[in-house]
Amino acid sequence: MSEAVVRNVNESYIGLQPCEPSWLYSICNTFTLNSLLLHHRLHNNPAARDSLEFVMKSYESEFLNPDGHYIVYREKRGPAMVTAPSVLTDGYLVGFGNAAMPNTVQRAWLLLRNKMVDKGLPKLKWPDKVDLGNYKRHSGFSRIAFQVAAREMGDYKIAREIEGCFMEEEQSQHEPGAPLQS
Amino acid sequence: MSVLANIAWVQSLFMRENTWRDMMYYDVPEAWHTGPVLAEAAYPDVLVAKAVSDGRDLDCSATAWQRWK
Repeated sequence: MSEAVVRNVNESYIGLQPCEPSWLYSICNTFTLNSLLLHHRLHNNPAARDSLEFVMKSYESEFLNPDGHYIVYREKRGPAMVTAPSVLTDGYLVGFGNAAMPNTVQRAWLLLRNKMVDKGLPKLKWPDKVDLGNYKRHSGFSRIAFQVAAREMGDYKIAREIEGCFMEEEQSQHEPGAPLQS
Repeated sequence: MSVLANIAWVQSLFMRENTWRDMMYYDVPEAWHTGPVLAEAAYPDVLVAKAVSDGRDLDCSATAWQRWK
């Protein structure tokens, strides 16, 4: 399996693997990062190490905006798709990128925490209103990504607050007559 | 929410500080290598809620699942 990941990385122009026909998602490629990192640690594999360095460099040069937020996705030979800074993307990058890229994800966490907590919960915009499991409109996945990030960073107070808000919101939607979340 | 979102939600509840970082960089406790393991369970008739070894014993709890009729 790691050989396949290494092959895909080497065949990629930027280093990350496409998971749609030609789109490279920064969230999905945390699996690339972690699988290469783990394989190299367990088997001391030079090919996995080289691919890992390529992907890490690519995250920093191609998927990190100057403002510290991660780019959601890019076309594999073209420009980045311009979206607003994404809670979903930054949250998952913090959670699952902490092993390989602790310096940049910790900065992303500080920015995200500042945006989500210190300045109050913002109105979520696309692409934070997409459920990655079924591609329907729902902001739940973004809240979960924030929860993942808070726990990985050890910020349990914030994690519990988000958890409480989220449970309250979900339960209210299941009461008869409760409006559907848009 | 989707099944994937629900799984992500439950997974997040198990996370603590540096969960993923520790999983990538450190091995599991030695007791988990040497202690008894639950070799198999007849899923879905047996649902395992917990199986943790301290190196000598296995702390295990499971329940039987009743199929809907």
